[in-house]
Amino acid sequence: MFFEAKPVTPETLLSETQRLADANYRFVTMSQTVLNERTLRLYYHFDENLTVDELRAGTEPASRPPMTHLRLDVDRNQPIPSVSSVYFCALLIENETQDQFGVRFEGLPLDYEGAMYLEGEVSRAPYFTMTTVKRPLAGTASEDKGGAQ
Amino acid sequence: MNRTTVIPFGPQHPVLPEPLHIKFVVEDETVVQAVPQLGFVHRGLESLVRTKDFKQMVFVVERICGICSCIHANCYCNAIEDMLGVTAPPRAQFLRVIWSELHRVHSHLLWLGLFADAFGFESVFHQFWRIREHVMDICEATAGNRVILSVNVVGGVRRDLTPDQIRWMLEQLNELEKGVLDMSKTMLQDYTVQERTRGIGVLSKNDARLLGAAGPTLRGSGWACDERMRGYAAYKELNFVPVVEQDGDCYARSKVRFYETLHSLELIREALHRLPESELAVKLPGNPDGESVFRVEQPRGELFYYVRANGGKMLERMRVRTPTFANIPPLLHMLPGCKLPDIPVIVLSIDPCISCTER
Repeated sequence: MFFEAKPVTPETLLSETQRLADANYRFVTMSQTVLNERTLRLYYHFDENLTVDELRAGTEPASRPPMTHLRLDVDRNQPIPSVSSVYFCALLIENETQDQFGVRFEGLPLDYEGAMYLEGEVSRAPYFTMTTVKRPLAGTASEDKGGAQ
Repeated sequence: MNRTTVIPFGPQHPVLPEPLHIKFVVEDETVVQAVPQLGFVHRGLESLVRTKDFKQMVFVVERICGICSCIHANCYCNAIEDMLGVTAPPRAQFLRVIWSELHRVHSHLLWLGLFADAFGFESVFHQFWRIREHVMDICEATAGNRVILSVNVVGGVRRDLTPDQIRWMLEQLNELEKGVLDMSKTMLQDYTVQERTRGIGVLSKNDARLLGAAGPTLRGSGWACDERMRGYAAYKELNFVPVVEQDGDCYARSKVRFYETLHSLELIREALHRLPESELAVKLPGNPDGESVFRVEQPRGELFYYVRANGGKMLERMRVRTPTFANIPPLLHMLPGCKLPDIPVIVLSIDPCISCTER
């Protein structure tokens, strides 16, 4: 479904998130999209749960409220406040965002520092190497450069 | 003074042959901390949207996870159809439900077997996997494949069911239901099962919400939260009721899955009886443009897709949040305080799918 998101700033993000938490919303996930080299757009998706009592009271499926979304455009060089102090579960997706988009979240209770998917000692993707093969000049002895990998 | 030891679990472990690594800090026999490590097989499938056109991506998203491949494709197709402003024809909507529920049944039966294996009940493991073969046969006979069905396309489906196939499926479903019911006494009342699962890995109702749990993990803690309640595909026309348990322990989660298996069989029967006549797919008006989110219910819980398009053949961005990804924080909350022999039972109770998580 197409969706509308409420714009927030890094200053208002935590208060808005806390407001949703107080209203018993569940944090679903975050989505990220690169707007340009400097700006990353983050969407925070929330949902309201039903209880069994509400269900027994005859709540119709169609009457379930739609998701609530927050939209945050951030400078990729600036730290982003972590919402995991409000929703602990956000720590995983925030760590993933650090890995994949090179941004930094402030206040993560468990911070992999950009190495959630790759161990800290791995400096590059282990299964992807790119090398340049140099052809030896005609008439000169070829040197073993390792070749293509 | 208690002795602290660090015990690695995975990425290759007899009880979970999937590459999840958890570092357990234990004091004597009690877990005090669990730290996960992911990324052993991360495939970067989300980034393929920039090199495959949006119709080809249906077959890519099916490969995110084998067990619920059809449901991944269903969610992706719905997100794209929303952007294009088209709706799949009624027959396609019902067929999507039928194949999705077949996937749910075979996923739950697979899990029930693995769960029994986790606490050492191997004969139950064999029984559930034997029963599961009926579903695999139905998938093969109706879609041509046992696991990756490839029946969904943007705008509808590309396979149909003949009246003969429907009659045969109904017979197979009866056999299947009989097999599942035969296992109910063992799975729900057996002393061994209850001793190994009751009161283990408790997730309270409030914690389930705060920790973002999804699917049977959430419903096992008392929340009636199932995306099928929203009525996507043909669910709005079927008699769907979510299965909810209150105790929040491993036993409650296994009960949710057991009863969901039976309910899914009812849904498939109902959909087969009420299968409307219509074309199978609609013509697409062009390329998608804009942003869209869609959620469906996988066997393991809520599956979320975000897609962004700019009117071209390729999408700009696709983001997938799978239910196992959502259930890892609740798992990390359940593990501290448990005893070492309960670790496999608790880890299995969220039905972890690392293939999904490392999409």
